[in-house]
Amino acid sequence: MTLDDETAAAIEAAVLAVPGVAELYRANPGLGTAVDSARRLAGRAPGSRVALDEDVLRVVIGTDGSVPAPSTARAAHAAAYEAATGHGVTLARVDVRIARVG
Amino acid sequence: MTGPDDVVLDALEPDDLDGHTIDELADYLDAGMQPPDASIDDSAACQNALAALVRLRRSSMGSLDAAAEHEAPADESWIGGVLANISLEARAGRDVPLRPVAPTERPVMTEGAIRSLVRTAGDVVPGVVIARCSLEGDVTELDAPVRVLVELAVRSGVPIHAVAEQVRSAVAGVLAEQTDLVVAAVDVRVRDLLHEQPDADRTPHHDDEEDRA
Repeated sequence: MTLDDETAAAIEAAVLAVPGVAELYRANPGLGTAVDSARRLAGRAPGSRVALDEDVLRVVIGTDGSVPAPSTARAAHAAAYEAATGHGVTLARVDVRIARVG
Repeated sequence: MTGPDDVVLDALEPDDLDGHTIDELADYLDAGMQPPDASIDDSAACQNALAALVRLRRSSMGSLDAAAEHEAPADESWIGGVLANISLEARAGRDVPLRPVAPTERPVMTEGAIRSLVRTAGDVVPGVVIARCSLEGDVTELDAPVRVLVELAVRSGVPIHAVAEQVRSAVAGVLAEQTDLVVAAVDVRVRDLLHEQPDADRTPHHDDEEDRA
């Protein structure tokens, strides 16, 4: 399954609207073979910062520190999951990675 | 002295900072971060390193700068060691799990983000320059006990025990608020003393005093 531009944009907007989220970084595909990586990259809409890896959505965020990071991660997960499923994307999991706390 | 004895800057930087070196980031900072470079602006590792560089420059204004200008190579090595540590600490490192509450959730925080948190908490204590920080233990396992080691330089005249306790308390507090780590201890090790001498002769001297939580 791939993400279309509209769905990716909706997910990004939903995550960025979460209180405490300051940045949305580009999610890279996980470790694996070159073929795996190419397939994972194909799951990301052009220019999108979120990535779909099979039925796992990957989101990498930076927070502003105003809200405890674990709470922010949970809220980002909920926002991303809701936005994706609202656009017809079936997800097994949302991986939220906090790469920076401002 | 905390320094480059245990780090190899050139060998580690390019991969650690999404293709950039700490020198490139310092130059970017000097240029007012203009023109914008998306490969830096959109990199969490680079942003962690830039934030640490900014704090280092603020805290070292008038002391480490003077040392760099006037002192023997040992001082430059010391500053170089701190920069090397910033470079190492800013890299993403291991994924540290946060506690999930839903079956569809797998939240993690990068080790680099946590080290940056630790460094930020320590840097705000007056009279202190954070030289190095590290997480010891299996941080990839939720609920595994973790020790945090923070190494400091303290300006001459600043009460060492008091600032060490301030740093320990600040680090423990921010980790309790911003992570799900089980912190067994925060070890604060004062490794260097920055002597307050007129402009040209500020030399970090090696000391080694450790306070444990």
